[in-house]
Amino acid sequence: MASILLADDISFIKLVQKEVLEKGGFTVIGEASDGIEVVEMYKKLKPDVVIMDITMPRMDGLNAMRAILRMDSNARIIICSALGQQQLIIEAIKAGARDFIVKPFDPGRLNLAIQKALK
Amino acid sequence: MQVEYINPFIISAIEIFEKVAKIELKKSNLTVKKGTTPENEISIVIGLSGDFMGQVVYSFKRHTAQRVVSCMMPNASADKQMAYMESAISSMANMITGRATILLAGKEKIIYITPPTVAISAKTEMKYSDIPTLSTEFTSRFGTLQINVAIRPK
Ligand SMILES: [Mg+2]
Repeated sequence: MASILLADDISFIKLVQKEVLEKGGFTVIGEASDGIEVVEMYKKLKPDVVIMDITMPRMDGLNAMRAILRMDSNARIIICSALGQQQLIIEAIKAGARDFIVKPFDPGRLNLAIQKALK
Repeated sequence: MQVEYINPFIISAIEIFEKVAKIELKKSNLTVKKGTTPENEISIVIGLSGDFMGQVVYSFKRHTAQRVVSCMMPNASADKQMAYMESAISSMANMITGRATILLAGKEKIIYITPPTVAISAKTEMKYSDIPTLSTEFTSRFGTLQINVAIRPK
């Protein structure tokens, strides 16, 4: 079963994501609330996939993604953000995101993005 | 402040409420304010930066916020709905703002937003710097909701 690390500053979002992912057969092994915490948790937990928000305190998700990819260039990171501007999506994909999901997210779309990242 | 800056927020609020909570919002009136004080007990403040700057304040009466949250998590117990109330309302404000930035930014611009800040009190004094505020009220079956937008291009 694939292990997932969630990063979002809003606990309600993580609650919904966790429910959706567990129904989809994934295991959520950690929940971070900001960019610095997700980088630290990634080091410790080595999850198969990270679901990363962009707007977070202390360090945003794009910078946290860059920090994780510097440690592990094979890290699978999927952005899940309320921000869906074209320029940001381009920036995130260029920086190494495997996919970009705009909130409110469709449960099927999130599960599919993880399955694709795992291939 | 131009009226077209608030339109993306009006469109987004209607869309996101329908999608996330199955609640129909109706726009009731639009006013221009100076230093805005949100009129309801629960306010969510989100700042904008990048190619647009300023802030947006979403304001709800407590009972309206509670009913909205119960629609956002219909299968949760009343205790759980209570525990997640601020967070769920914050996520709603975050998604409305995020959706509005897509409409405001178009293809070239980039707009960043801050994490939501929740302010709870009868009347919160809020300063919007020198940017005039456009305020829209919406009605729903659970009461009214106000969105105050004080933004301008960089
Ligand atoms: Mg966030």
